[in-house]
Amino acid sequence: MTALRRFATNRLAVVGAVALAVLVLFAVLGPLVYPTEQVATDLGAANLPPGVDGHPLGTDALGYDNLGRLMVAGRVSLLVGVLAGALATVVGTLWGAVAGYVGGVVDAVMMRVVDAGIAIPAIFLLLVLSTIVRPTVGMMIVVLGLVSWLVPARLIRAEALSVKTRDYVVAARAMGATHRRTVLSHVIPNTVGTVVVNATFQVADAILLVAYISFLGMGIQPPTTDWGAMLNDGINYIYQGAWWLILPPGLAIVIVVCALNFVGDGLRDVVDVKGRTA
Amino acid sequence: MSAPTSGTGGETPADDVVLRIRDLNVTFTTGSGDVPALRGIDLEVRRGRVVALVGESGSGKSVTSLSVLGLLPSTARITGSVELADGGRLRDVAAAAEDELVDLRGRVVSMVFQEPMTALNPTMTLGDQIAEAVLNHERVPRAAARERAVELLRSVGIPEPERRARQYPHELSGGQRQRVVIAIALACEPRLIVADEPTTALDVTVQAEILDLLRELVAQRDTALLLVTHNMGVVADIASDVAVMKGGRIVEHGPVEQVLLAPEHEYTRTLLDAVPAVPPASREARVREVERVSSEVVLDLRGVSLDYRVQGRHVRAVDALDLTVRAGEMLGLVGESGSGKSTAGRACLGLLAPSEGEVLLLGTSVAKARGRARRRLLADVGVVFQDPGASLDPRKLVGESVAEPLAIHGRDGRRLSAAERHARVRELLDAVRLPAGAERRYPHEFSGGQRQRIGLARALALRPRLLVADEPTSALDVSVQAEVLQVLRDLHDELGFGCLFISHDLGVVHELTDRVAVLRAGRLVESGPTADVFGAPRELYTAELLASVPTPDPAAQRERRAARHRLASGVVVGVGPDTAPGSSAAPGSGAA
Amino acid sequence: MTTAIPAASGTPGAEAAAPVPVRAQRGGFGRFLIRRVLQALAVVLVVSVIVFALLHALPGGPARGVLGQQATPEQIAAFEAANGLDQPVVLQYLSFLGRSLTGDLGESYLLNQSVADAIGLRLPKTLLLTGLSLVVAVLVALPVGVYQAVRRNRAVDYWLSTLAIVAYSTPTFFLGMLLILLLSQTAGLFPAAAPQGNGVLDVLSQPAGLVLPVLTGAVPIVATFSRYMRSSTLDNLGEDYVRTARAKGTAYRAVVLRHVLRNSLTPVVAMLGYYLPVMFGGALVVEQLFNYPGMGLLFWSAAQSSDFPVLLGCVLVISVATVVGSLLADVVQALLDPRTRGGMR
Repeated sequence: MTALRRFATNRLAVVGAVALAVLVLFAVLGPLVYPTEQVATDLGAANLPPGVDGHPLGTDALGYDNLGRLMVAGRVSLLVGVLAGALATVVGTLWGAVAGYVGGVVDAVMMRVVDAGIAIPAIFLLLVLSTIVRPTVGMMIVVLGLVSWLVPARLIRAEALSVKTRDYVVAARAMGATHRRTVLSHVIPNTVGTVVVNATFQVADAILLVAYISFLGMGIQPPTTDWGAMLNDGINYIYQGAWWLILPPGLAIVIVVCALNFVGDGLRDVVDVKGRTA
Repeated sequence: MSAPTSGTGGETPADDVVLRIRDLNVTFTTGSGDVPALRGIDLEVRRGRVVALVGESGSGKSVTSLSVLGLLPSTARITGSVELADGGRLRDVAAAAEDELVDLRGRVVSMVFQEPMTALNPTMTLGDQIAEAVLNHERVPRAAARERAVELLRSVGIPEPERRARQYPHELSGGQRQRVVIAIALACEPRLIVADEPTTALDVTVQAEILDLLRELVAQRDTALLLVTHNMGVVADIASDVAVMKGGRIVEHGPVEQVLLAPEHEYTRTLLDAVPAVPPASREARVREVERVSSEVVLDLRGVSLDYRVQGRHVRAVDALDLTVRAGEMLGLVGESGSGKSTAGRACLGLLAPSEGEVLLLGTSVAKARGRARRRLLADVGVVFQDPGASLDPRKLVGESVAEPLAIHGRDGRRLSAAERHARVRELLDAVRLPAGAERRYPHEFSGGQRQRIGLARALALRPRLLVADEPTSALDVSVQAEVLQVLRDLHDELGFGCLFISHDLGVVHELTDRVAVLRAGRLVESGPTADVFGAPRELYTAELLASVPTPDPAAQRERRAARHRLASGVVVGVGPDTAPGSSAAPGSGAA
Repeated sequence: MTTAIPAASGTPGAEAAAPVPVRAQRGGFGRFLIRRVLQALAVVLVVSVIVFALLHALPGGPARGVLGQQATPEQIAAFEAANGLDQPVVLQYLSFLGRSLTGDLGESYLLNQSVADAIGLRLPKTLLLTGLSLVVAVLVALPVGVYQAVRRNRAVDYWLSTLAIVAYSTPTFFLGMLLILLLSQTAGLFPAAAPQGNGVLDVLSQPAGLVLPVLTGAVPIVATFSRYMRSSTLDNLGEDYVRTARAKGTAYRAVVLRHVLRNSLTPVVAMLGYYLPVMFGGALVVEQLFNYPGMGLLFWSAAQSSDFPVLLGCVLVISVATVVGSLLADVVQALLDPRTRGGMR
């Protein structure tokens, strides 16, 4: 209750949550309300400007209705983003928690692996991987998840290190609590806030990464598409002033990533306050 | 106006008034409404006087001190006047614009803060930080300001001032840093220095030296000092007048002898009664305790040494320590910061493994016990830590926290049913005098003192044979401390556990414990019955430590101070603990 | 571009998410330096293992990777024998490591050039582009961050923060497209094509063409680092030494410039090192978008044509550059702080 109210005091977070809900509804339910042909091309109706022939946002070079395409592309972007973000969060949390709690040599080795992973720019790694494995939606989720778990791993490690030294954890150890009990009943519940907040940012990042890979032409293959791929398709027409191919998918990405960041900030306020009063 | 205002009320300000506060009200605007901090303060400080502002946390004493320099945050709403004498005229800080305040600060009034470890800029040399104060107000060449800085360092008793001026704060101990902060405050010879808990973060021996310095400087330079403190002993040591604050008001005000020895206000009396004192050499036998103590040894440290690894080097925190605690006995372990007392406490809990020697709990070595045997051993030990904010898991209900030992160990070798557990939790919370329903609330809903009592309840859940209490009341106000100690004493009488009571506060240890062990730099200095050790210390260090604790009686404190000076001059001159780097961090932080 | 770091965008968690620094304390600067260098070497070693593993994950193994998809089984067998690929994996790795150390990264089978030469020709241009973006970004971000901290929770701070999140949430390529649309197509101020040429000087001789790529690269850095600087400055404004400085009559402005600025910069310098991989990733996108002849574009074309030696060579070089950059950032940070520097004497 109070957590919800605290979240609500951050106006941007509320705006973000609403925008997120609207975009998800748009992508998931949109095609049911506004069905369009998104598999077969229609070159006769290619490159129409908005408003012509009942295409509110025009059509692209292959004659796909742009509004409908925005919806189905959104499904892919959001799905890959959420699942890859979730995968990265789970892997990163486990890795970081183990490194932070166990400490010592184990920690040092585990964190050098993380350092190395972070030293390789994610996009470079993703491009190499997508030349090796054929990028499908499922593959994309796995690959993105596997390059994105590093930052949460660092974050959770730091958190675990700090929780581990708090008096209540030390007291539990002094009472004879097992490691298992200490981790399950004290360490994890007290890092869960950080994990949840970070997961939000992780999803935002994954959505951006999908867009980058698709924009670079190494993403999920047609006819499946996502917002980044739409931008990649549209860039060739940018000099002809075909703004309707660029702005809608671009803005969709900006809005969804912004919204997730706002929501994440709001969640952090909630989590932080709880930590502070304790 | 409930406060007797003996120092104020003159219609025309006398020549020697340096600060006059009239009907000062401060209210803070917060997200959840207005919070009044000061309600109608009247106060006057005259040249050469030391006025102490005492009170517990939340009394408004720090707000008062900040308002004198116009340093209150922008959320503060101020009415009334705070006038400072500048040359021949009075200037009202409460109504002054920022550039006017910048002109007054440092020149007419300056300030010394509580935390010397953080009060200085870590990336600027000490000399530059002092010179800056000079350059803020005087048009002198930079080189001249630097020379002044060296002189100021010398005058606050920093050895080798030329070299020190080129150093950075981290190269000095806490006591020395506080001297530098004082040098900054003195730089432009202000008429008034405001000192907000200037010795609270320091060890007692260092505190005594800093108080000596302040006393000298005030006398030499005819400066006035407004001293904010919670410590009645400090008041007795240095103040000429006292104002007692409570809830944003001054409840009693007068000369120091009158307020401390014949307090008129009920609150002042309560405050004074709550101060645990170290009396001068009295040898009253503590028959009651002696009877209760059995011969069974619950904790036995045999030649225990503990090492830390810092940057690959071994640092010995505790060196060949021998201690025993018997059932029903309270052993005080005292020492200044860095003495290794907290480290020793952690070893007793099996949290640290000794590099040499043995820790025996109930005759069994903790370090060697493994698995089930170790857990069974630990079931007989309870622990209470210093920080009331950190000792309870913020995400667990108080009831869950108190029941944790029961959940880990069960009782008498079997698991407890939910109802049994609940009943036991209720019993424990009753024993530490917490209201019904407390078990269904979260820690942050309780005050510091209440949380420490909850911690005590948890520690005693399994009726342990040994309780390790590491500075359990050091973060609390004296009146709250008195409550918590009373609860501890009662439960100790009732349950008869052995207790290792770790503290830097000699007064508390004196009031509470049967025997005491004094630790210095990881070594045992001396140990014995508390009354004997405190009444007639065999070791010089113990005597110095005892003489450094200020007592809230001005006359007695003068004697104690003289005794300390005699002790100090009897030994190597000028080598106090203050001059050893790293000798003073936050009290009680120990090395743990 | 922003990926892989955003959770750390100037947020309280950011410092916690920073690489595990070897805490340089009174133990001394020398010891700190040795440990930090060893740590960097360990990281480079792990990177080399990852790259080696990728090499073996190629379809058909490294032989096909090098010889191309058209290679016959006989050619592959001959190649494997000639290059010791029939030896145990550990030996292969060691020889790979040895070759990499001597700068032998193999041959590109498209460019008719050794990988080392191909990278050597383009890396300076990428460093130029990234460096210019960084300089521009830092010159904007630091003052903005300090200004926001001083005006914290006022309307201007609120709007600047929101703007930073929006800028940060905008994919670099989309931002670049918008800039092309607005500044090139509509206003005609700058060319949309980046300068071409072999050397750094050729590129520098066409400054107008650099404007849009540098600007595109700089915006996300500004967004990120203004947030870092804001939170670092805010932390320092709350420190006790600020109160001490004010109490001695230092004007607020002087407190900020003389005391707070220096102390706030230190952690931000370390974050710069941490941010390097993100900047290199951003350079790839910018180069591809503006057709700038740097290492990013080389990498992208290699990805299009499955030129594996070039791909893996680039990954190795970029990663090592990142590790070295973070190392330098940490050392600079340690030097800026007298608490760590003291041990040098």
